[in-house]
Amino acid sequence: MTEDTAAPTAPPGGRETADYVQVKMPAESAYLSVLRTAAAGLAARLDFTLDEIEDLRIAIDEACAMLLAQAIPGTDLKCVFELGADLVTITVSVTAAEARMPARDTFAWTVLSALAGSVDSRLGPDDRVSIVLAKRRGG
Amino acid sequence: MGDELAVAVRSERGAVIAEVAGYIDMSTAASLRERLFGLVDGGQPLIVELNRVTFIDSAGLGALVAVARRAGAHGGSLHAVCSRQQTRKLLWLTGVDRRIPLTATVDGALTLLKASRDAPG
Repeated sequence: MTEDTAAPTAPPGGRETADYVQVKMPAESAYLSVLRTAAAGLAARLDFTLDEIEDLRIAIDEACAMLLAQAIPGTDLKCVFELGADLVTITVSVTAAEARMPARDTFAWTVLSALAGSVDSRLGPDDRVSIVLAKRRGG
Repeated sequence: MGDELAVAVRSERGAVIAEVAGYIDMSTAASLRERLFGLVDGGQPLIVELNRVTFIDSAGLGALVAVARRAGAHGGSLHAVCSRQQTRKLLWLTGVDRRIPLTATVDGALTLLKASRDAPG
């Protein structure tokens, strides 16, 4: 990890492929603060501004909160961070008993879509529901 | 995990002031709501001070709106105080600031309260 010793202003850009960081945790709201902290740390690595980091913390929290509402207790929430040069794409997913797309007429969706650059939700196989959000530095 | 949220309560110039510290998300919003319900049930105006809140999301905003509604039903009111830009942005984004008057200082909220009390009608 020689990259870590480089000047802190140098983003991990210029590489051909993205780095992936995956966090798997119990689908319980008590762990949300841990995930917010991880998101902030990763966004800081990409040189996001403090405001952008704060937006991302809230966006990921909203996405997870929406999914936790339908997650089967005792299962896991999975979060994958894809770190590009100046773009972070986050996919959060849970297993639901009756998987459905998150409602878009809520406070939570308003906040999520305003703070993330782009947001989408998906129903996958095996009753998996995902929210994918992306935020670009300076964008 | 019981230290995420703390509420300190005091009285000032006829209003109850609840200073909240910690984070307000789906794991703590319900207990905050219940705590604040207890402070508005007597009908006195409540000012909730959010400057020491390190994180708030839509679950937290929902709790505040529920408290405002409950305060109104009991003849009281809810004001919010926050100078943190991120929290103010969230209140504005969701339109909650149209429902809960927001000021940067407790003094500002007390002044607003006095003005609404003095207003005719």
